[in-house]
Amino acid sequence: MEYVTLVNRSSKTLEGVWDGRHYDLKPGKHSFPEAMAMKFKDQNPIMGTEDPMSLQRQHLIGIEEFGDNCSPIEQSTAPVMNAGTLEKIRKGELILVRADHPFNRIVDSAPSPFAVASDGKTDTSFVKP
Amino acid sequence: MAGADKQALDAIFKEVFEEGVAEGVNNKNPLRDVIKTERVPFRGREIVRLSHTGRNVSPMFVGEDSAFADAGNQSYSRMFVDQRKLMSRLRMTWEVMQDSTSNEGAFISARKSEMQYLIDDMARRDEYALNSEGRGILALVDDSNPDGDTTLTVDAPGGITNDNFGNRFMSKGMYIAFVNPANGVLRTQGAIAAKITGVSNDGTSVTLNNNLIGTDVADSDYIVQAANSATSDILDTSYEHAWWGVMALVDDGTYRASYFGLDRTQVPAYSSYVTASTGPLSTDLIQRVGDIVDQKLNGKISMMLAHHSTRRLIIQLTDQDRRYMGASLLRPDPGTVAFKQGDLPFGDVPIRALRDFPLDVLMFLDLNNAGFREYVSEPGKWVDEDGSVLWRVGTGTAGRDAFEAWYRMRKQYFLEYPAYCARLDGVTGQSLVVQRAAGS
Repeated sequence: MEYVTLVNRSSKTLEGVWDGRHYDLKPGKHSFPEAMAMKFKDQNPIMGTEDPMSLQRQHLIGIEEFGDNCSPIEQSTAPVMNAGTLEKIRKGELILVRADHPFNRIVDSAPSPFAVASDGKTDTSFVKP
Repeated sequence: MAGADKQALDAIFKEVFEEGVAEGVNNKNPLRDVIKTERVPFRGREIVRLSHTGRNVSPMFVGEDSAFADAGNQSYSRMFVDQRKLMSRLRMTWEVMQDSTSNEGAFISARKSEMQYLIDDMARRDEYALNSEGRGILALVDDSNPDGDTTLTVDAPGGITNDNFGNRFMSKGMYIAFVNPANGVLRTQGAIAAKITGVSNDGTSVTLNNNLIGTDVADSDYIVQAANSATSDILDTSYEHAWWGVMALVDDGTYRASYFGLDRTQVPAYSSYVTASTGPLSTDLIQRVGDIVDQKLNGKISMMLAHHSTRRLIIQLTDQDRRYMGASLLRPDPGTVAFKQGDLPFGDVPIRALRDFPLDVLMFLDLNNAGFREYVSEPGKWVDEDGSVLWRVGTGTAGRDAFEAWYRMRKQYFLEYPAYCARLDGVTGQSLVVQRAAGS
């Protein structure tokens, strides 16, 4: 059984489940067997970051031995995309914002009219016709 | 005003009793009906299953007169299937049996009531176990400092990760104990077997009959059923005594890393495809799981299981497309077959909603090929090895004119090929209505 270094990249305690046991993962480094660390990573994605083409996600947990990004990062606070938020997008109450990856779309609350920006920020030049 | 009215002549009126007893307990156990098992008798110490788990890797394309690969060999592993037991008992005085024998004296015979309904209650626990992972966990402690609490907040019903409805498998009158998840040892300090005196309507807590939860009880400790208030031995609790349910059988190590003694991370055939923190459902995602099961072991999904709240998400997937509603637009029908609790189809595969199923899980089963088995040493029977189902309580000074009966079941569920099945954990977007099964 090979142990790896798991890094909780966030500032909050995360939870991982393996063999029916719930583990509290405090911010910082921990040592776990590889299979457990991989599962914990999978259980803690940054919501809204899945690439629909490659299905790759960003995670709040990195594994040093795998060369993962272990720099600090926090969970997305964007509303969960579901039927309710889709309806709000239609009404212009929520706005689609482009995230880091070109395929990603996350929903962010915004007072401005419906617009899609190219730089990850609200397009202030957009004028509603 | 003087004269006769019903109040004045109240003494002359009889109460009129309807025949029969209304059923106020939900005795439907749908998962038990779904899992059509092959029943196999159990004998000896344990059932040992031999599994072919690896191939000879020596086949190699080679050039003329070239070396070729060293000899390889087939790999085999053994699995050890044990037995788990469910016991219950009832106690009746002679008077309650005697005085309830006639229709004139009682709505129902106490003997018939107690013995018949106890079997239904056993079936209810069977259903609970089948929906969980076999550790006999009722819930997890959801309090960083539960020491001294009389109201205990709980989550993860059945030990399955979820913040909601933690008390769904806990009932008033149960004794509970706390288990350290790191080593499976009973927490020792304080009164370890508290009794549940109430369950909150919002599903998040239970009230206890004392404030003696030990100082060593911690957040995420397992809460298990204890035999009585004096329980101080892990043997006298439900911990690791329940038979395995679908969350253990269809798993990748999240809830059962060892599959009857076989390391799931080493043998792909015994590890199901499980996605953690799935997020929102989509038709593409569901299709993807069906494809993966086919790629992995040629599995063909024949049924999907979900809690009602998760099934509603699947209904929502087609909300925008169900525009031609019913046969006539004069009588539009915005519903689906799920409204009458029929099986909603996805690619002709039925999606079955189960009341005790984990709240944010969608499970994919290949019922034709996965090989559900039930190793049984006792399918269910009143204990009567001494020639009597009912026997006297106590002797000497402890003797009472009362009778006890015990009922036992002993078996274990087994899945021949877990890789034929799959699971999506952490589905989000549900609007959960916390609703306890009536009578529980």
